Amino acid sequence: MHHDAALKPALCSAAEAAARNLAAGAHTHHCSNYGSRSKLDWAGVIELCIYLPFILLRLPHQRVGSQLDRILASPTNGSAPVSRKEGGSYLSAADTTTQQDKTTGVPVIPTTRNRFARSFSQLVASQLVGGDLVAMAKSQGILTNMGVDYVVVFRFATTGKLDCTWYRRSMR
Amino acid sequence: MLPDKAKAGERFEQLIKALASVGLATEVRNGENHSLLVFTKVASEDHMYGEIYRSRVRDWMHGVRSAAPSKELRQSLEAEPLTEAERLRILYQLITNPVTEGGAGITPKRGEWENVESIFALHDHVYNKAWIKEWSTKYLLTPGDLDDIRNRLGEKIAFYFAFTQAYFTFLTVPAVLGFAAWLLLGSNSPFYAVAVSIWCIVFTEYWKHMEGDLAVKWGSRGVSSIETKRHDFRHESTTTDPVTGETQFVFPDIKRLQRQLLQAPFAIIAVLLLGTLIATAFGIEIFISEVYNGPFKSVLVFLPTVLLTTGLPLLTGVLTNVATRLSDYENYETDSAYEKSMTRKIFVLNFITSYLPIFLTAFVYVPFGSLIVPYLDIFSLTVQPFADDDKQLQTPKSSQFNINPDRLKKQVIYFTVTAQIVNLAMEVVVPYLKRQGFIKFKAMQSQRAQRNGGTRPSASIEDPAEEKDFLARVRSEAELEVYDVTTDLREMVLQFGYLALFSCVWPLVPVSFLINNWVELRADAVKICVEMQRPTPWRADTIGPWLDSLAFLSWLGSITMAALTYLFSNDGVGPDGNPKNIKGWGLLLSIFFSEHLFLLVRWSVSYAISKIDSPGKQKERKDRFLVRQQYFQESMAGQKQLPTLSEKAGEITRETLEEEARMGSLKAATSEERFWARQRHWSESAKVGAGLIERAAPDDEEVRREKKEL
Repeated sequence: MHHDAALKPALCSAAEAAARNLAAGAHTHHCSNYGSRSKLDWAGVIELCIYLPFILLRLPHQRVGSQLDRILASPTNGSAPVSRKEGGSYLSAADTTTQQDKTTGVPVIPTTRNRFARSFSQLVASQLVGGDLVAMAKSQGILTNMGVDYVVVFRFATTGKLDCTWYRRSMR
Repeated sequence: MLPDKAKAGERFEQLIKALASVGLATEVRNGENHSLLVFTKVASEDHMYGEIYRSRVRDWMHGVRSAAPSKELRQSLEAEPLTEAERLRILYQLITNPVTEGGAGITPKRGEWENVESIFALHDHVYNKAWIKEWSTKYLLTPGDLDDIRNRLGEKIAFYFAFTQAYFTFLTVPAVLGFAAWLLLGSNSPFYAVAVSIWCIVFTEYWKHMEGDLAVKWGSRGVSSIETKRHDFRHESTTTDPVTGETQFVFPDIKRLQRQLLQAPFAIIAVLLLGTLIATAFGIEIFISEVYNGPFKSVLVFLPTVLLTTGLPLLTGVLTNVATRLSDYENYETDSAYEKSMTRKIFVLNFITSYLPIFLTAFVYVPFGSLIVPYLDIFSLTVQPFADDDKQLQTPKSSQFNINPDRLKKQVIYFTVTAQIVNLAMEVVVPYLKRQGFIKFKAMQSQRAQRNGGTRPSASIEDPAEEKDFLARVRSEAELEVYDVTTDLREMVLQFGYLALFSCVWPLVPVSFLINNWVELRADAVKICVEMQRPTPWRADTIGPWLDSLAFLSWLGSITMAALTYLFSNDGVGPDGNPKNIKGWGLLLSIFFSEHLFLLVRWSVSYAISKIDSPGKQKERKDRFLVRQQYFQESMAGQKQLPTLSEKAGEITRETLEEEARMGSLKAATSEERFWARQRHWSESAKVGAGLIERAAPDDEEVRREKKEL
């Protein structure tokens, strides 16, 4: 994933710091259910509010996110490249270096807001395809639903006693 | 154990037949844990078009659409393109609607369809990814974003996001006010309390206006009038409608009313049970934290939290079950009536669990704390085993006890900051971690079974190579939870309650909610995309019974804010545990005055907002005008344009007069005919009239003379 090289470590360390604060204040949060014992770490709470998205969405699957982006953007995979506006990748090389003014086309330096938003977007996008959805990104299968409108789940047994291979055999 | 193989096979065949009977093509693959995945799609587009047309005509007949859809279907679809949500909704109804209404009648987990576990559409991951990216890169959502959700996920979910977005935007006003009040005025400022109460009224009334506007814009106004019959409705008799001649299934209203009366004892029992638990935890907590002075105090103070975190969910679960059974027993005819009844009961439970602790602190502990504390020695039982001697358990006398004046504020901070963050984590992070843990556990279990040599073949073992990834995704989605938008709506309404009822205690409450809701909107989008099955895109024209809850909380807020302001505006210290300082008449007068002011302001705001024009109202007027015009033109098209009298009548000449005299002499004329024959043309009437005026009207000299005489 084309992270902003300078921003990423800063965000991660901030997220870690906030997580530490959260852990440190966890005992007070728990016991504060009815007030009088509550000693909230206010700095921690404010930091947590700011970095909550990063804490929630700091993931180990960034690699997969970039893989999905490549699939989305590549015209060779059979699908049309998806433009930024159409919901395609925000993470192209051009995006991460400079942005262009929409009307003049003049390159502009990303503002803090843009960088914040973009990094958040990157992390969210990584989250979206993380975990058990990783497999989806590996093929174009993720980009299509095979024309399926609905899936009906039919459960024919609830315990392991009934061997399901009988139906698989019959389906062949 | 579900039915045996033969029975399961029979039921499966029945399912496939039912799907085919409504024009759905099917494909079957293996699913996880003894299940099969039946993939369906519309067999032919013509069939789909037919269903769309039928649905739109039905809408027109129920007044949802102002005009009938064009009979030329393609033309109709070009004029009003089909959205993904509409397509999926129509297909879902095709699968689940009763056979009598043209559906396959498949109702998951019910009756003959108990093997059908779920019916869901697949996520559109390209859209989901774009959706999350777009929302996470902008501070504010636009109407276009909401339209997009409506087109993809249906009006019901779009209404939730529209409500949360409107609430978030509106929150900027109390957030600024609250921050200013926190800096300049401190807690329990009457100015802030009045401002927030007015804000609550404006927001509630504006949302009513806005949801009506959105319903018109999204073409869903009046959909709640298209009632779907409840599958579990049991009729007692049948009757024939005297107007339509249709057979109606009847359950007597009186009998339902009798059953509804059981809601009163239910509410009392809920209040007693939950109230007792909360009050006990409250008493124990005060005893340990403010009376007990022995060993392990820092650990024992967790006792009430443990009591509540274990007892409250259990009790709430039991009461929710009772509420469900009660609603079932009330035997509602339609889904919307059932949902409304259920929502009201759940709101009562949530109201108690969410607000009762603060009510106890504000209106019991702070004013009467010194009176109550001597009686708290009953809770010494909870810590007796740890105490060294009885002195450590001795409750102080009323005069010696000082209440903790910060308690109320800290409690409000807990509910409006910490609890919101914990809630968000429970909503998004915990389910994700749970699922990841479960997947890892399953993998480990499978590995262990493989090592021991007795493993069941994986569901994916026979997947064709080109379908492998797709089927893996579908199996993964099949295991996800079903999204219930009312849970999120309830969360927002309860949050609104804290603001309306108690925010004067700590004016930064709206600031906290503002930050929380920015994240909440995006977190909910992520939740729908990652943690939930794709929701069925239901239509709606309102947020339903939650609107009543908002109005109720605004009203109650006018009372609690007045009471809190009266009780605690004494330099923010409050009545310092001495009820003698509270003047009963003062408290009642402030509540009385505040409530009446509330009613007056609400009426004024409601009236003012009703006068605001909006795109929705304009669209509605335009649609009505076009329909009137269309009907008028259609009905007048057959009528010949008659000539006006001036064109019809010819000139009066000697010949015409003679001809008339000749015609008149042929038969004896009646007095009526003679009456109408004196003036033949409008010009003749005008001339005769002018002559009469000339003769009878007085001249100017005559008028002056008459005036003088008078």
